Amino acid sequence: MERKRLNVFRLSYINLRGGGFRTGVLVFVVAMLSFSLLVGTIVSNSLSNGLLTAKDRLGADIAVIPAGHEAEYEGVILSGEPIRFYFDKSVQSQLAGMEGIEKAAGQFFLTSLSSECCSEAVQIIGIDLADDFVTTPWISNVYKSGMRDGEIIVGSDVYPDDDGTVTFYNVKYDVVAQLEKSSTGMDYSVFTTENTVRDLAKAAHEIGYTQNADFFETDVDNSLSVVHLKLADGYDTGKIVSKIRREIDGIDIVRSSELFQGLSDKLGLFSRFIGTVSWAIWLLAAAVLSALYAFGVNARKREFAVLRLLGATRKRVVSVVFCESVLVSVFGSIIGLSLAALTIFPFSTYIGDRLGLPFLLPDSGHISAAFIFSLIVSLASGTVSAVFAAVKLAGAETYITMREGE
Amino acid sequence: MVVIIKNLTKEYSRGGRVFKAVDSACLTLTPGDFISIIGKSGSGKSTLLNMIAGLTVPTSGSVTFDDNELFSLSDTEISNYRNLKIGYVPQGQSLLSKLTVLENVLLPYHMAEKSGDGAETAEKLLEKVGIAHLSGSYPKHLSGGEMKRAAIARALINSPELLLVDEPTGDLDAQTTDDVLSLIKSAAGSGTAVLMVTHDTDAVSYSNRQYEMRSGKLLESAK
Ligand SMILES: Nc1ncnc2c1ncn2[C@@H]1O[C@H](COP(=O)(O)OP(=O)(O)OP(=O)(O)O)[C@@H](O)[C@H]1O
Ligand SMILES: [Mg+2]
Repeated sequence: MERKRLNVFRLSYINLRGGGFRTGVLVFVVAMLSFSLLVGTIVSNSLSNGLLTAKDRLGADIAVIPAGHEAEYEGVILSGEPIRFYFDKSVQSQLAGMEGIEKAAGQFFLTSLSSECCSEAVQIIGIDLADDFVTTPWISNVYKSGMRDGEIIVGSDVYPDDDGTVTFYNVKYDVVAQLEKSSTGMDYSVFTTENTVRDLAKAAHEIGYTQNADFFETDVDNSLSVVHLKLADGYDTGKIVSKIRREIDGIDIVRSSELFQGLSDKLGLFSRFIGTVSWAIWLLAAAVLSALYAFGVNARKREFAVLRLLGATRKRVVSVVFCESVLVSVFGSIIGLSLAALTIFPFSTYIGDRLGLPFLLPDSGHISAAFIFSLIVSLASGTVSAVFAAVKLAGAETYITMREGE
Repeated sequence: MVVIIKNLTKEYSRGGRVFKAVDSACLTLTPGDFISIIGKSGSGKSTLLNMIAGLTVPTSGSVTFDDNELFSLSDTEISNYRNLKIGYVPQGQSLLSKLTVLENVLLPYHMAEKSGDGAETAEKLLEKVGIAHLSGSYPKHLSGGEMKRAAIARALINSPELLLVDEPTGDLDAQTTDDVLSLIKSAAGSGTAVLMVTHDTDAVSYSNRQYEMRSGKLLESAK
């Protein structure tokens, strides 16, 4: 029988195998470290990615809405809370005529019901195809031919009926496409043309949209819910906002920078919290690992002294400890990173909901980078503390170590 | 092979006072020598052996092995010397607990990057020291005498030119003591120089040159 050589690797393996509890604790600490590093990195990446995407999706500098509905509008944009409010359509042409405004695109909001007439309760957004610059770019990503009357495009978290249709106020529509996830209210909204949404509003009138008495006072053909503005280059947002406020009554203005300010602040705070916790965990793990290795190497002085006595170089003794720590760290990291992946990927939607912040997993490049980062930090923390302990020991005179180990 | 030990001195300090654990020891070893050093506990016997093995750096004096001054060698050179030229049976239990007896014996062989797996040589040695049946056992299941024999087999695996033995018979009964000492003597008989330290006066009779160590001083005793 060919016997395996007792090289550094095999000696390390045998030591770990016989190390029982000590090995278990080391693996556990490294696993915990790599787990928290990966979860922390991916969660904070997902949050900043979510915010970026949300900002991108909104795309308009300024939204003009009926007075008093600011909070509700934020609800639609950020979380898809179904809501409707209206003002006169003339606001759009007034705005379009102002100096410094390049584009003014209207949207008509309608809400569906969670009763028999409708597939589900969602926000229905009618887009003015001629002027729109906010939603059309995202729609064309998934539906090249462009939306026509009678067609519905749903957000990523709206599920059509089995036959690929949705029904609102007893009218059946074909779902022609589904948008990519944005981690904003768009994910819970459906989109159609202005004409179609106005027809739907009339259908709602017909079947008696009872719990919304004020809705019946709406002149469907002459109303709008919001006008998104794109400013021409070189114009100051602040000045135009004041001018609009002066010239048009009964409106509120939501600037996208303000809309996302609160979110940005919350996210900044949260990212700092994650950062601090990660640092604390790293420090703790590094301290525990250093202590465990220093302790372990000390308790094994006699063993290392015997190796020296049989002709092992200092380098070889350090290599045995190094190899042990690499094995432990690789094994622990694999466990920690797998557990982290199993936690994050299946539950990302749940985590986002619990955090109440836009949460969008980063692309695979960023995810790989997070994996590599966590792996390197865990490996380095494990091995550096081990080698540090071993080098310190190997520097001591061998006989002294042999005596003290007795 | 010739080992020349000249004015070897090791000072230690205890309680702020410097004392000589080994004081100007001189000794020459050639193949086939079986030298015993007897001395009381604390007289400096282990310290002397450790200096000859290159494990402890002397305060002054020299150890030359075939014209090589030990303490001017690099760590790699001195480690190779220890691995290939010296067999060391240290005082007390020195087997690695996670390795089997056979693996313990093979350890110095595999450190040397020698060809072959050495198992045959190791098994032959285990047979010679009378514990072939224990080759797969772990040290914790061995008696004191069996561990000592395993340590002797381990010291002989690389066919050393110099065998250093520290207190081989400390906790052994009369019969086992006799077996172990005969083993060591037969190593000397096959051309290896043996240096054995002990405080057992009976053990001395196996050697062909006797020394005595007294407070660090090494003195040749008349036979
Ligand atoms: N590293 C050290 N630091 C301080 N004193 C030491 C050190 N090593 C040995 N000594 C002292 O040097 C003296 C000689 O020790 P050594 O171990 O060589 O004795 P020994 O003859 O082998 O004794 P024993 O028969 O008990 O094994 C002792 O007094 C011991 O306490
Ligand atoms: Mg001693």
